[in-house]
Amino acid sequence: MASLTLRLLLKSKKAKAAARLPQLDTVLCREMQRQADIEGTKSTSYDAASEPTSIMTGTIFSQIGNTPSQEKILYRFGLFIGKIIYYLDAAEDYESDKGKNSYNVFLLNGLSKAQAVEKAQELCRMCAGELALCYNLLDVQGYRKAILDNIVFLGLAEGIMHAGEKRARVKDTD
Amino acid sequence: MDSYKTLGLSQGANEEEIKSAYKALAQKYSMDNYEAGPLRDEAEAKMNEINAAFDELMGNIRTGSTAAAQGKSASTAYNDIRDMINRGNAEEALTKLNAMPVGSEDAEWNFLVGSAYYYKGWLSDAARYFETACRLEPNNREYAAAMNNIKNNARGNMNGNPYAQNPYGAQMRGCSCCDMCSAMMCMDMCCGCGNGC
Repeated sequence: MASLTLRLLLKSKKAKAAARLPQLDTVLCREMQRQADIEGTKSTSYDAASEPTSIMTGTIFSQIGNTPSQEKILYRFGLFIGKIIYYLDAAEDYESDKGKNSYNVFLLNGLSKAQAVEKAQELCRMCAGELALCYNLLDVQGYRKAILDNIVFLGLAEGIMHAGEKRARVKDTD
Repeated sequence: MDSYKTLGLSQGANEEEIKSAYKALAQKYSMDNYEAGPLRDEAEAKMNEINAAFDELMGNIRTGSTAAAQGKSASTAYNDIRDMINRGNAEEALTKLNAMPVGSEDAEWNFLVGSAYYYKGWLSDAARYFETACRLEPNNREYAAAMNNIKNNARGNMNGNPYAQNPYGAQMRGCSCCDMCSAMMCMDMCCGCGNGC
């Protein structure tokens, strides 16, 4: 029941968001469809598999830029965030995807769980390096720099180090 | 005079094809066949034309001018594709590169395919093509730099990292990608992006 209520709530929020940012909604819907298409073709390309997610996050991040230059940098920044999220998620879901016979780019490449984690880490590090180049160009200043530096250079690296591990879910204490 | 046309060849024919075509035409228009007939002069003129074409094409091969001309044409195409990538038209560049004749996949071709993929953020494919470019031309510094950039990233290098030399070994507190997205968005809501970000 709680789930149904949440879904209804989110549906109405989604409709409001789509009305506010119709172009973003178009991109997100298009890329969701592309993700389904790519999975349908059982693509073994790591780049192709992660592209819809990366375009979605790239587009979302570009929205917070105030100048065309910032938008461009933030788009690429978001692009690599999306790829990292995709690879970490795919590595984390390796076993459940295997059990459900669901699409998983690491499984389709014939990798074991350990190899999948290693590959995910390698791909994520490549992306993190590029992401850092984008971040440096944003020239963040002031107190925000320390916080964001910590997230970008330490938090992200930690996330990558723990690729393939199930993240602990925070229990609802209400 | 189009020497290739004279010998019945297509542009860029190799030495073996030129020699073979010449041999066939020389037999066909051999003076022995026309010596006693009324078409001797015509046959001689035809043979002179064939000889001139053969000499020109073989001369080009010996001096490398054909290869240079072909190289120049490929180089012009590659420059156009470089411009395309720099302007952000990675997809168009890939289409052009993939439409090039089979056998054109030299070091520069691989480098440009890698660059187009790099532009798109397809780092895994970019690395593959950069690697091939480096293998084909090991002394090219541009190719090596592109490859090293991706390899350094894959090893965990993050340009501009103000913390320890190896961020993957430093002590950290848990922040995942999702935390990072949330943090960026929250900070934007709280502080706005324009004044510092």
